[in-house]
Amino acid sequence: MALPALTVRSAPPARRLARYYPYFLIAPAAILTVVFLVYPVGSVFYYSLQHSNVTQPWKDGFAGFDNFIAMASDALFWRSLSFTAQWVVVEVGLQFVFGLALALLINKTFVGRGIARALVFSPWAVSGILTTTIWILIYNPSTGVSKYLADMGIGEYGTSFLAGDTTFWAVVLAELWKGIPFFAILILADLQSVSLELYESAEMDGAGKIRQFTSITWPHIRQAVIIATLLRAVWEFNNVDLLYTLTGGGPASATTTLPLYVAQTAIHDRDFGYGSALTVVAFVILTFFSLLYLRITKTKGDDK
Amino acid sequence: MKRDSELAFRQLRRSTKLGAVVGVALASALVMTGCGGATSEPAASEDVVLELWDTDTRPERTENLKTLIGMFEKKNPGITVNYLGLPTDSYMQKIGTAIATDSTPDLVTPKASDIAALVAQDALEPIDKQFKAGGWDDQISPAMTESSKAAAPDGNLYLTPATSLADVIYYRADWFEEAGLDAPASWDDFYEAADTLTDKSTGRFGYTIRGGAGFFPQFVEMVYPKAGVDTFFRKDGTSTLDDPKVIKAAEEYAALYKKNTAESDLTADFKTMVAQFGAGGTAMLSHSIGSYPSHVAALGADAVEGVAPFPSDDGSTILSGWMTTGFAMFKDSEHKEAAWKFLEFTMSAEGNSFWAEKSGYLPGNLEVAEEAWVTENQPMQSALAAAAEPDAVLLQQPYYLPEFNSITTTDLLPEWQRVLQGDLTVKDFLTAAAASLTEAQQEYLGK
Amino acid sequence: MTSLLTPPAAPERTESRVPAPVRVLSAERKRAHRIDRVLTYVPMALFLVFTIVPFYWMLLFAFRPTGSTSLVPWPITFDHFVTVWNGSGFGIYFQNSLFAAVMSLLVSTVIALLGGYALARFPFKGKALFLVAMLCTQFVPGAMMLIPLFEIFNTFGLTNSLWSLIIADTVFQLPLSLILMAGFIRNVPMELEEAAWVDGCTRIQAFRLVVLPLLKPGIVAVGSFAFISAWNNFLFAIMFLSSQDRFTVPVGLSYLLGEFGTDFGALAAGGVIAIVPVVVLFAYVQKFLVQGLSAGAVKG
Repeated sequence: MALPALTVRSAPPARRLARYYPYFLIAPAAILTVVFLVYPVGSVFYYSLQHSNVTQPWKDGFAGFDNFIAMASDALFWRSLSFTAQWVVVEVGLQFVFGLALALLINKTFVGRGIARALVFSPWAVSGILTTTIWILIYNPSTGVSKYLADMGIGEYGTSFLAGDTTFWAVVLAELWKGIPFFAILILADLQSVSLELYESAEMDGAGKIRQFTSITWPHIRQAVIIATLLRAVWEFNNVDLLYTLTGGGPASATTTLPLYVAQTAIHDRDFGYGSALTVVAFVILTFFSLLYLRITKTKGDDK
Repeated sequence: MKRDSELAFRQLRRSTKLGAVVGVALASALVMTGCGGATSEPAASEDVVLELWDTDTRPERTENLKTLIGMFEKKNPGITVNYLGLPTDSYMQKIGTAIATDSTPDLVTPKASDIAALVAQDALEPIDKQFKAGGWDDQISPAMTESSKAAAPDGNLYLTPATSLADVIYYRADWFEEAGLDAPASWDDFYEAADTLTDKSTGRFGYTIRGGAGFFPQFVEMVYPKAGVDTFFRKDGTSTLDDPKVIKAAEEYAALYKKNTAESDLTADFKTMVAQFGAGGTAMLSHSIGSYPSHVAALGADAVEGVAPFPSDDGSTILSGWMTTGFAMFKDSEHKEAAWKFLEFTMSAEGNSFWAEKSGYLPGNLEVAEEAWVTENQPMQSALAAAAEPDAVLLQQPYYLPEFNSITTTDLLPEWQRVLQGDLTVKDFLTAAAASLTEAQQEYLGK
Repeated sequence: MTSLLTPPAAPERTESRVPAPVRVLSAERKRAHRIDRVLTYVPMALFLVFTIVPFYWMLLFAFRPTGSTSLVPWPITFDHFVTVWNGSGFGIYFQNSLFAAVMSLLVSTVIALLGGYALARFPFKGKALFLVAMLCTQFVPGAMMLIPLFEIFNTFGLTNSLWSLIIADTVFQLPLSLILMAGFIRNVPMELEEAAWVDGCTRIQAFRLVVLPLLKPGIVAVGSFAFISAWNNFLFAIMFLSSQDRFTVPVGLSYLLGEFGTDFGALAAGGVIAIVPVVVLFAYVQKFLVQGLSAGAVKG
């Protein structure tokens, strides 16, 4: 699209102009973000300082920090916060580990790998609404796996992995189904730019598979993995669809993440002020941990 | 107060104008690529086009509604109605966005329980005057009109009392027969049947209790009629949820969990329950008459019957789950006259008969209520028979309380699940629930 | 699709590059090879089972009659497909989803290529700030910003146009696309580009002739993320569009989930319809995911 326009100018790369190249290049992204996101994000911050509740319109108005003060004594807020941390760490950790394993596996040569690749990637392509429906049916006590297991004498009828001690892991599994391919696709693509000569010479030096992985593969994909885990963590943090549909945040709020709590407050209960305040807190937490994560994982030699 | 916030909001908006201008160039560049979907098809010059948003999008219903629209358009040349279906889970969010951005349609199909929130946002047009002027008072069931008015905080009529839902208990007639049980006729029969028909070793359960989203309406259906309490609030505006009779009935109800229900019911919402009932996992299910067609589709007409909740322990008949469902018009509609014509059509014998029959709802039009299809629908007959009891009282849920929805779902749901898990007693649960409903009611009365 | 047995002529990445005699001689190597095979097939099979079981469940519901609890879809029925296709105008949703997804793919890939190149190849002032700002846009859920977004699209006259969907989706997808693309570009050795400059290429030519071919796997990955996220978008579609004939496939699916009846058979059938094109697409593009330096196209 924009490439031909640049060609004209770049023939003798004038130094002065070249300084602006990067700004031209990031301009489309920056403009889109500014135009479409600054005001919406700003409005969330604005409403966090307001009482804005459709069900109590007579109370609407400037709230100062009331919403934030209310949070301190809101038990569900604190509980959802700690569950969110658990959810994100477990989900992203497992998605990454299995995604990496899958990418390494599928990068090998074996019979039928074309079909295998297409198949294992496909859960990523399934829409959220469909994913949850499939898992509802799988976990349903009458149409799901537990019924057929009970038919075979394993476990009891009328049980579901979604109600009981297994709730957490049942939801984790459903989300893994969709999340593993994300990492696998990404890592697989990144693996393609590793020079084969490196492996060949390593092999000649007598380096084993593990050694090859730690000294060639890992350094190569490391940067992408850091970014991908970070973005995925943010995504898992904010994604409420699956939890909302499978458990509704229950039983007894046990699987309520902070954004799920936000959805219940701001969208279902229409208390937009408090919901916005919760979102702002989530924003601050995410900013803090993202920067911390980037700082920790930064190594010398990386450009920013 | 409201003004201030609006002003500040405007200012905030203005500050982004510059960015917006920059963006126009880019956006228009993008649009150039084609599509051209932004313009809607032009209607004949003097034609009025009404936008109708439907909040229930099952394919059969969509089909029926479109037919209803076709019938209306034929009778009213010059008026076109555009249908838009909104999914059950997100229609209120869409409508909320539309209200906030002044882009509401002309017509909508809200439930009684949605009215308070819409009226609180000053979005709906009251139709009391037209209703009276049109003489509908005499043609529409007074009970339904009453119930529709009761849903609004200001007592005005917003929702046409076109149709109504009622709760029934569905049961597997074939299983009852197999077990040599008669159709349940009392609460004792119900609890006994739930126990008899539970056979955990084959995966059959007597009942499915709603532990997840939407638990409250079912809770009310199973508890209030049994307790014989016919009002949600006492004269002094305190909630009857902590009434000893209610607590006793609720204890019995909650005790069904695990004993006669699947353990998984702890988080079951309607989707889960209906999948269970349809797959032959459970003998009885509480829901509204509106879902009858889908049970018949899954199990066959012979296998499933419905019965209205039974008389209370002291012999009184309490009707629960009677909820008006109809049509309403938005305040910002530019074609209120045409919109009213449509609302009238849904209440008229012709429109009402078609719409109520096809949807499986109780018709609001008194003439239609006599028609054969009403007398032939078994669960509907059961609901109507209960309503015909001389001492029958309609239990009105306080939909007019704007907080009613958030209290009964967000606040109470986790606590209810704790009750089922055995971490909270029914009494403590109901005492706390009564306190928060009382508070909401007091605030409403004091306002 | 990729050939099953790699012909020696196609230099794919296999051990076949190791001189043959070495292989024959070493029994130990043979054993290692066998272990390697087991370590490939067994976990692969497990992954496949995990992937397929949920799909199978969906197929079961899509193809067996309502009310059946059989574990095989027999007797097979196509009723659910008829219901879905006739009942809710799936054809049009399908077209809309496809248009939105393709446009979203094109727009976000091009923007990501431009921005990614800047991030990967130039040091510039404000880079860190730009990155952090991009990241921050991901911190607020879209559901909290619907009203202001709607207002902005309204200003541009884009509400009720598929472009609102495409833009919103691109904007939310952009940080991911951009940052990932920067990483992929960074992994293409700078020396290759410099060599092209020496040969007289301009920066643009060098990018097109040298970098772009090597970026194929990255572009496919980023592009398919964008495609899929737009294809599956539900929230923006339902919120920004207000006419039935603009809706997308996920909206069509959600029609089948309701409080008064959920037709799981029809839903599963709709799901099959929704998934097939994307799976076919994956089956096609996956081979581009494994082409790059290792495909032997370019040697330093």
